Amino acid sequence: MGPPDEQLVEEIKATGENSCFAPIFERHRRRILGRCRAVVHDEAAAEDLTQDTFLTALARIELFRGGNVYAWLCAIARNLCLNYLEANIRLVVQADLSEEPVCTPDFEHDLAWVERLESILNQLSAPQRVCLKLFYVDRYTAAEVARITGFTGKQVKTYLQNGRRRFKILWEKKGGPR
Amino acid sequence: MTNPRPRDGGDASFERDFGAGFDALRRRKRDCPRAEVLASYLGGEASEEESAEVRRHLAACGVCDLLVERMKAFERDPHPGPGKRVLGWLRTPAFAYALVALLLYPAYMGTLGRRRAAEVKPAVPRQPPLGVEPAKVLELSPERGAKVQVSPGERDKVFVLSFFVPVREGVRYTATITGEDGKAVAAPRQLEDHDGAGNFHLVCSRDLFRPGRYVLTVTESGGRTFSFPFSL
Repeated sequence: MGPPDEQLVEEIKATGENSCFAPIFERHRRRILGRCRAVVHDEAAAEDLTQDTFLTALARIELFRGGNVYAWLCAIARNLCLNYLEANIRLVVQADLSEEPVCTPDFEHDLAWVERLESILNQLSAPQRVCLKLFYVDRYTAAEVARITGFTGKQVKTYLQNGRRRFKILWEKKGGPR
Repeated sequence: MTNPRPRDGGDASFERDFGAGFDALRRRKRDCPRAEVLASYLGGEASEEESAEVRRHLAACGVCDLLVERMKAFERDPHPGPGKRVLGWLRTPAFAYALVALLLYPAYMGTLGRRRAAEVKPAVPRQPPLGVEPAKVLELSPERGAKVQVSPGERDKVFVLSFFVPVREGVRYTATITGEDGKAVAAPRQLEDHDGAGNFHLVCSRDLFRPGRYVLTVTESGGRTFSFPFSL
């Protein structure tokens, strides 16, 4: 079993002995790696993110204010994974900036309609919803949506068509035309 | 790849609302929140105000929505502890169905049993199981004396003589049954107190008796006797 995480962290803080961090690494490495792998779907990237998580934790050990060490490690890993995903997605997005959209002014203050739209979108599956937003709100092409999301072109077209069909059904259920 | 702009034959009002609705969403869209804000929103650490702001943004932003969707995989622990594994198993539909079946079965059996009990008509007296026959119990009383006419059935192999003697502590009792000719039907038998109050039961073999008058005599070791005449 060994001493609890919190005690080890206190020891590192007090003595600066980094070897005390080894048991923490051994205990939580597998779970952190599993979480990172689930997000990035890339073994090497997940390994890197896991290493970075523990290195960051060790470097910022003075900032640990008590509580659950695993939860703290998760928070660090979550930040790193998010940064990784964001960097990858934004890389695609930056390269494919679309033209500034033209909006109809009468809808700007029509919150009721927007809320209705949001509630319909939230009833779609996540891939359908994301593809519809990227395609109709951000005005990316289907090819761009495929690059951003990592779906194939065919998948994107299917999500767009099915999403639009489902959207219409829900729109009619909610009373049809505005 | 060409822009497909999918069409599925929707009517004009839908087309108008659909396009205009997304235009309105686009106009509402503000700058994307910083990664730290998104992370704290995902970790459930963001304030109410921040969370509401993120939700508003997510409604209009496909990129952030995609990020949050991807990050949901992070929140599902791929290696939960044993406690969580058991808890997860308890939450599976299969367990719920099994539990319901387990609870319903005794309830069903109880209902069925009650229904069956209701269907039974006590028209036919209950018969003893094969090979077991109830013994006829003959209540004897010294007051009634010879008037007691007991008539065990022809097929009875044994019958029981039941009688009361005012017993005393430390005293032994012996029973003797004699016929009209004064001869003992069987050897005298030591009586064991049945209930401590003086109620005795004496099991008799039917084969030893013929129709006629008999006297059951209970002799106390102190000398007192109690007679119970009966006839068969």
